[in-house]
Amino acid sequence: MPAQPLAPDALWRSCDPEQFDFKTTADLEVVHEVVGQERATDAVRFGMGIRKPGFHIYALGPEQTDKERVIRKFLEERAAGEPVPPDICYVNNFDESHRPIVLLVPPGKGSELAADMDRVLEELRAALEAAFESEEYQTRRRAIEEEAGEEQEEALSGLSDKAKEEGIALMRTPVGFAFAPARDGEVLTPEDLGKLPDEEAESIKARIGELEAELQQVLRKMPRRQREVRDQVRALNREVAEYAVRDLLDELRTKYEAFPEVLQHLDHVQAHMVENVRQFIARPEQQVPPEMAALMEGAGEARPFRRYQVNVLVDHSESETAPVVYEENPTYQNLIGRVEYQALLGALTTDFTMMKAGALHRANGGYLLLDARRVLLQPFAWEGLKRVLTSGELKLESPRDVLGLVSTVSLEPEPVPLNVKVVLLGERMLYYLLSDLEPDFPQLFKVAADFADDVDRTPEGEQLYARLIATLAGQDELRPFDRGAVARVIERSARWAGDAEKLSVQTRDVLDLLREADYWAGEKGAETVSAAHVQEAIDQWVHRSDRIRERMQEQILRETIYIDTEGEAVGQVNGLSVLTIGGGGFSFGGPTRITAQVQLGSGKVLNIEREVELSGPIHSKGVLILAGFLGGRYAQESPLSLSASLVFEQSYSGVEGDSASSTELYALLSAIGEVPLAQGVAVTGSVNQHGQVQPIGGVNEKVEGFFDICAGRGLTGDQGVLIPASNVKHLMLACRVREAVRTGQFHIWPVETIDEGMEILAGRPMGEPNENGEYPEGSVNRAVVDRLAELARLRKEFGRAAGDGGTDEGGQEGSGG
Amino acid sequence: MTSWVPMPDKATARTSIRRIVVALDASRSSMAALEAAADLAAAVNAELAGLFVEDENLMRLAGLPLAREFDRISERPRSMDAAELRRHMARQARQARRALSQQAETRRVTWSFRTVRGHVTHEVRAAASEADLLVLGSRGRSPGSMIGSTARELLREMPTLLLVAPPAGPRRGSVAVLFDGTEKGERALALASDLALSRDRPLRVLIAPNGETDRREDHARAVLGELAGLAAYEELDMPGLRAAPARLRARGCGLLVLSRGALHALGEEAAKWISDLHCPLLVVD
Repeated sequence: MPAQPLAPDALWRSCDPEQFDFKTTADLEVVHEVVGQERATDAVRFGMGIRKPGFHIYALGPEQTDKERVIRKFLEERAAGEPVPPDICYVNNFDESHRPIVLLVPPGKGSELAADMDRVLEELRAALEAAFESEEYQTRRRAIEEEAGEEQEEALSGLSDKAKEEGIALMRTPVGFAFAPARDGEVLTPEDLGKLPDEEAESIKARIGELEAELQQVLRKMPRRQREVRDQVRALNREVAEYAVRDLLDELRTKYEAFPEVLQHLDHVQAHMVENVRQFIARPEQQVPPEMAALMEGAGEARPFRRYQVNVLVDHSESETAPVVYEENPTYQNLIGRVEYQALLGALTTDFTMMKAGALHRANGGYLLLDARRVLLQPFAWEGLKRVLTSGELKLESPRDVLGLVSTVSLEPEPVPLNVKVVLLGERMLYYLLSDLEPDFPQLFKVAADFADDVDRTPEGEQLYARLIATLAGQDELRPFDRGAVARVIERSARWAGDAEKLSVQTRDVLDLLREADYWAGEKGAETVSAAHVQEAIDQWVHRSDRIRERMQEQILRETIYIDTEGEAVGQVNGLSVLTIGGGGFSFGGPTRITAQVQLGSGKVLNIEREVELSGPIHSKGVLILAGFLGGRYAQESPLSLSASLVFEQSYSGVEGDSASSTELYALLSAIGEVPLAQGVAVTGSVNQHGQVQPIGGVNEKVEGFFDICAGRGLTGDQGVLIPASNVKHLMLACRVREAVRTGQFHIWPVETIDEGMEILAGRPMGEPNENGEYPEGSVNRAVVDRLAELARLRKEFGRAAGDGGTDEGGQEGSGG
Repeated sequence: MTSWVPMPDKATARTSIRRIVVALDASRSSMAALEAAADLAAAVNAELAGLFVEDENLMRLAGLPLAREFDRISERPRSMDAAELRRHMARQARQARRALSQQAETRRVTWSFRTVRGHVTHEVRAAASEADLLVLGSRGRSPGSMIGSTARELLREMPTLLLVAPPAGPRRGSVAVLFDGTEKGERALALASDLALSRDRPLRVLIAPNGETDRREDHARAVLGELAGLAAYEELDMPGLRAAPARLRARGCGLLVLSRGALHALGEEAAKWISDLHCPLLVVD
């Protein structure tokens, strides 16, 4: 009893616009929840709730599900109830300047502190200049310096006066001082000296000796006195500076008294400012020639105030919730932050003010979304992320430092305690690969949020889907969709899901369709989008993607590729395959001729595709199953004495998948039994060793592909496709196929077994064995069994003729067992 | 060599500085004095005459048997050698001459230089009597760090104009004048205004305290005549006068002109006041 072709109703599960009680999507309430992703959203909720190390989230699922939007929305809702994290500031470490110190202050205080500090610095220069220019300071300083000068001058002039009384002059020589006998301000000449009485000359000489000893005493005191002066001036400077600095900083101390870390920093600042007060009063332009100053512009030496500044890495003054950060370009530096460098006189220098925040800094205290693939593609990014998440603190190191390749002045900033929830978005494949190959991955990303591709198509599901359409259209500010349009979109979504009982939740595809439909509605000047616009959008999309499909059909229609769609042939069946091209996911089906040849042999089925390594393992497995089926059904009493070969005609690339295994079996049976098969019927479905036909994928595309060829040549009314019965629920066929089926021009037969299929293809019964195990005359099985018996006989004869069949025995046992 | 700088006739007419003598001893202070003198000479189109005095007393000292000097740095005695001292002085004279020729030639000022032997004060005084203006460094080689003994002595007695330059003063800046309302003060004011005009510098008139406070600004304006509007005026009280050096420094003053009498109010403090100045001082008598 051959299987009956499907009724037109079974080819398509339409969506009845009348089930909706709205007029257009404008009447519909927006969906706030995520449609059909309960598992994923539960996981995300759990992952966000659990604040333990390692419970980061990996959101896996197809690209088009808009995971990012969904998760972001979730995170933002959750973040809204969470406190704003502290600002992250870095300040100079006055003891070790290469290890900047981190200051965590409440949100908004960071930028305030930085501004306050800048203002203080600005005022400080003026205040210090005023203090040091002040008359009081100048007077005190002069007093110190002059005191020493006067002391010396007094000592010298005292000595000079004392000498003068005794007729001796103190004189300045090119290198120092000397005493000379003088009279009325005139130094005596040697002659004058000679005229003096000896005693007087001796006495003068003795006096000079005494005075010289005194002079030496005076001179000896000078260096020590100068050192004392310097010390006193320094002490004075410090006193004046401390007064000015403390006065300004005390203002900040009062303001930030609640933050001990800030106070501690202010103490350090004050101590350092007082210690280095010269930098404030010295005028750099007087010390450095202008050309040098230009070169040193921006360098630490030229801008000594930098070291007192506050570098606000993360400023939350504008934030109202915990941060949710999506880093588009997760390079190492964009994640961990970076230290910039400045070329100064040929060397690279840096300091804490050149530290820049990374996404992890910005997201600290909140959530960070990253694309898993991009993180893995960026050098060091994954390692860096892992290190930070494992250690629980964010350390700003450049990859160069981590590798230790180049040694230049660098920073080792104090790490920031990390409290961030990382959400990786990525494909499923990547998740499984990471779980398998990266030992740290399961420790860090313990929560998998698995996004589904589709949802069940129930009446409630369709209602919800309508609201999803309304939401997407509303978000994108598209024209409202009327009921018909919504129904058409739902039908299309089922086709995307490749299943009449499912709806695709790959919202990005849906949104694209909505946008395109909206465009066509706009082109037509319509206020609302109707079913016709949706259909137009689908047709136009197909048309745009269609070139290769058209070319392939053309090759068949012009008989460059041989496909018979009429008549009968032995050992030849049309199989069906699906091709997917381009990023848009456009896929289409088409027929391939599969042929079988049988000759005398030892029971092997030769897969020609495999011989030339064009066959994938699944295909090869399918062919081996055929041998199993043949053996099981026909070789229970005598070995299979044939050798068969199978080939995909005009296939020049690899073959993979087992959806052609039923086709191959039909071709094989036809070839063995020399039973002609109808060429107007194409076949798809895999088969098991018991001859049951099993479901395959892409059934809609395959049927349409063959239909288009037949329609191109003109439908005969006998043509159709055999599909596995279990694929019927997946049918969402195009209108043109449905129409042809309705008018009886084309048929789709659901088959459960090879026998059912064979009866349709061969146009005769398979035949049931009688009590003796014999099949009725004229049945397919009979033809096969007879041919096999004939081949066995021939083989036996051949073996006898050869004298010894020893070599063949082993082969038979192998295949029979 | 003559100056090419075009000068307002008035400037030369009213100040009539034709010849400037600058005393040089190759010290830093005297180099600053030279620079100030050269600037001034260029401004008023005067001749610059350099003078180097070989100290007679020092030569005699070196000639004495067993003469020795004490090194200022190592405080050790070393014997003095007349020949060495002579060489040293000749070297200093050459240095001074070279400096003078450089300064004068870059400003295209006529110059001359001569070396004399004798007592420093005496020789400088003698040279000054032949000139309209004497210029010397405020810090000489005498012991102590304040204004040098030669400068102090000459400041007290020189009849002619005197310019004393500190070791390192600002090259450019405003011209200030301390005006005391006397006849000599008027001369100082007129000279200052000429210098300001010829050097294209702002003029600041400081009015010295001497009892009758009011109307002296009017007096100063009257002296300046049509230039009165270009000057800034400031009346000083006693503390103001004392603080003037620091104020002038803060305001970038490049030259202070005053009559000798204007400093009388300061009495004993005058020498210290001058040593506090960071700009050249031009004393008018």
